[in-house]
Amino acid sequence: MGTGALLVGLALLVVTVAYVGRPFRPNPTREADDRVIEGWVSALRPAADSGRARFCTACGNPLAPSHRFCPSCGTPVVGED
Amino acid sequence: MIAETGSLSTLLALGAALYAALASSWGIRRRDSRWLQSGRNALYAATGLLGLAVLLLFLAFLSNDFQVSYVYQHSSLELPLYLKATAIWAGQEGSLLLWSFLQVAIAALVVRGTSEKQRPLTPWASVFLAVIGAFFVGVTFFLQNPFRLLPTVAANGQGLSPLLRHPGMVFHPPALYVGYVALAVPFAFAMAGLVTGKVADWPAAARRWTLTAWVFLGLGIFLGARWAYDVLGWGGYWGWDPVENAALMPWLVATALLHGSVLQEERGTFRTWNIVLAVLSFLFVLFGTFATRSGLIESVHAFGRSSLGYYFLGFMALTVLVSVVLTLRRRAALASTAEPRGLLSREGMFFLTLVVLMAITASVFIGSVLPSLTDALGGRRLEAGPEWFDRVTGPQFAVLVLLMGVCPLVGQSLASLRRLRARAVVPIVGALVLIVAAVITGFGKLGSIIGFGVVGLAGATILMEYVTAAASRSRRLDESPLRSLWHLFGRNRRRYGGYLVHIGIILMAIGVIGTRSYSQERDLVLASGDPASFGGYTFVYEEARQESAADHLSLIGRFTVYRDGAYLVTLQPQLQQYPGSEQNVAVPALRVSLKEDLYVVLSSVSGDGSSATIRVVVDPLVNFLWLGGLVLLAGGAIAVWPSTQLQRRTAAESRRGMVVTAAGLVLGVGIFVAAGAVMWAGGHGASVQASGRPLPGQTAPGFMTTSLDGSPLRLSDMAGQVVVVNFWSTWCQPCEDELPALQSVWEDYRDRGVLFVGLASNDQEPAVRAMTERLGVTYPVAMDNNEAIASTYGITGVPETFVLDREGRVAKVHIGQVSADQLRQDLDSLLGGQ
Repeated sequence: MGTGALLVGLALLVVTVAYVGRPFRPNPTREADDRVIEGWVSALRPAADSGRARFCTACGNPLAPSHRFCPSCGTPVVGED
Repeated sequence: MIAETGSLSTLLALGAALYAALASSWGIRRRDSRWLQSGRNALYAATGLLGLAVLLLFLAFLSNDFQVSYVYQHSSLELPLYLKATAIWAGQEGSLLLWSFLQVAIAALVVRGTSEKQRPLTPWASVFLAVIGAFFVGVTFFLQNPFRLLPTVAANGQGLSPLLRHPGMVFHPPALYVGYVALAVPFAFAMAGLVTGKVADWPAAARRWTLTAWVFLGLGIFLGARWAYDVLGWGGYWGWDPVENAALMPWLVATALLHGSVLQEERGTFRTWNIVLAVLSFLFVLFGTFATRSGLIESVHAFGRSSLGYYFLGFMALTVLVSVVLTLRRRAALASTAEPRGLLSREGMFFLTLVVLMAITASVFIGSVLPSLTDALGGRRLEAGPEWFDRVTGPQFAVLVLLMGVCPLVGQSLASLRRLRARAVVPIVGALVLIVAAVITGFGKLGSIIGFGVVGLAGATILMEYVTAAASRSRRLDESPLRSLWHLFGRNRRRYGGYLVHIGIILMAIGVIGTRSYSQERDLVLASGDPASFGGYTFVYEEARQESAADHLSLIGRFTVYRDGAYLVTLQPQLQQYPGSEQNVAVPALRVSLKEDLYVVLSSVSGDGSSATIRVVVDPLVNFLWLGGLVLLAGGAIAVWPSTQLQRRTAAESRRGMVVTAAGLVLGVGIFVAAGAVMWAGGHGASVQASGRPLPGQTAPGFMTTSLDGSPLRLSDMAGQVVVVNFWSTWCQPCEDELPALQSVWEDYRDRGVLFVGLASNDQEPAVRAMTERLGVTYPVAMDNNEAIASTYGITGVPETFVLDREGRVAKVHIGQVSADQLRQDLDSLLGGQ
């Protein structure tokens, strides 16, 4: 078998495998997005667990139970405590 | 380099197809869409890789790479370009590669399909399709690799078989292959339905694919029949050849499946039937491939003997096993949900239709395998010839046509006999009209009368169906009737497209009755200028000439045809000889008319060209067959055309839909016009001249001219004498050679009441004078200016000599040079030994 044909065959193999494996390839942009969303979700989770979620009245940022000031805009948290 | 890359590409495609099957089934099991997507990608990749392989094979043909065994066997340097492209599927290996490509491509198309009905079944269907695709690719790569190399490079290839050097080669095999591979789709959906338990839904999901397969397979069969008619030179179109049967059987089963699917979609019945039909149609595809490629049957179209058959046999066994197991597992779900109705209902009619279609298929199958089967059983080899098939399937087809006529009459169900009586008037009138028309035009044999009656009945019913539907719509919506008819096709494509298919079949039935009961044929040996008659036609052999084309030599015979003593047409059938091939190809000449085709094949020409043997076939009503085939395919195309109306939501989409519809319409009509033009407008070796020669016994056309010495020459003045009229020219060597002979005969007979007239045709007067003086011609010679006289005598060249008797009738015609002896013989017989 000639070297040329072998190289072309190898190239075809690489392209095929790359294309077929594409659904499994990590997608950096999507993963970064996923991380951000996961952050929001985990921030919300304790609030949701405690029965009510808290949000900053000025900017809408989710607030953890320990927050006295909004970590995003600095507005004091007004609440029952 | 090209071949090796092609080989590697095929191997990679095999891997991709196998992976697709595994990844898809894994994805289904794990409910993981990534694996499903990966499997889809693998099918796309396999399609691309096989497309590349086909392209590379084409490149090998283009670059005359005769080291590739397949190119060496099926091409040569002088082969025209379009035939080099078609040579890809001229042999076993290349056609399997094309098949693999199409098989995988159709799997890729199926997984792309996203219609609501298909979605739940598609993953499993793609598994089955990927396995089927992998089987074909594997067989191609391991057993029939078209990229195999020869140890040495030949200077030139063996060339394409002459029979395959025909434009039909461009479309006929690919159309068949598309039909074959598409029949795997309903099978795959049926299996997917069984696996998932959605046995009710699969016919709807697979419907468009079944129809597509049916249309393409029908197109392939139709083109094949026409090709046989044009090229094989036996005046027929269907010989019940095993390979023809191999294509017909899956088509018949697919027809049954289409009908069964309609009922399953409407009422949920015929579930088991449809599973069986889907499996059977796919099995017949495999069987056909097995039979034609294993050397099991002998046929003009079959490929050579090979071990391939066993693998196909094995795959068929696997198919049967899988489908039987799956069907048994779901037998509870296959029970029909609807209450059965009697035989005299739409359902009952469909049931009978399926039974008859399966009976025809069974008959064809038995006839096809009978020779091999009896051989294998060690007994006397029994052959089923065309007559056997005609006799067995003829009545079955008649029942089928009858059902087409009765089914619309019955409607949903037959409430009462009175209703039937009210609706039966038109069909009975239709049957009578066609019978009377057939008898009047001379088709009065008893058997065919029954056939025409059935055809008339069915035709009238279907026309009535169109008319009543269009009329009621037109009344209801206040539309013009034609517009209503148009909308009927738009709204219910499957139903009215289907009726159009039935009309096509009815037209074809007329053609089949005509050709099977009234066809006549005979071999005629014709001496030059001597007329012979057959089938109401009179033939005169004029000449034979040779012409050379790029890749072959043509021997062309020229025959003038007369009917009722009047000139009709000039036919020029050919015998083509291809260097390096033993086989001569006879290209028939056709005189086409709606009533009958006159089909003339040149069998041979004697060594000195003085006589020719032709085979004459008169094929009555054969054009109804071709017309019917076109109508049938048009109906199928209408039924398969995607219905976009429901999906068009916005104005832009609607506009786009209109553009697509219009483009499709233009394309479709264009294809049909082109097909019609090829069949009917193309010359087919026939040409019509201003007039033909007067036949022996007919009065010779009169003429009045002036001879070179100024005396008048009038044929009417020569009554009572025997006249020899010789057309000649000074530039024609045979004319010059025969002039002394004419002169000497004239000198011997001038005192016995014989006149000679020379007519110089297409010539200059000084040259004519010079030649007559030089050769000592003393009988009267005149100029035939503008060939005024020659054209009334219908001459086709010089020299030609007409011998007229005392009453001015033509006694003998000599085309080409005449000898003194021949002329003396003619004159002696006319003068009666005075």
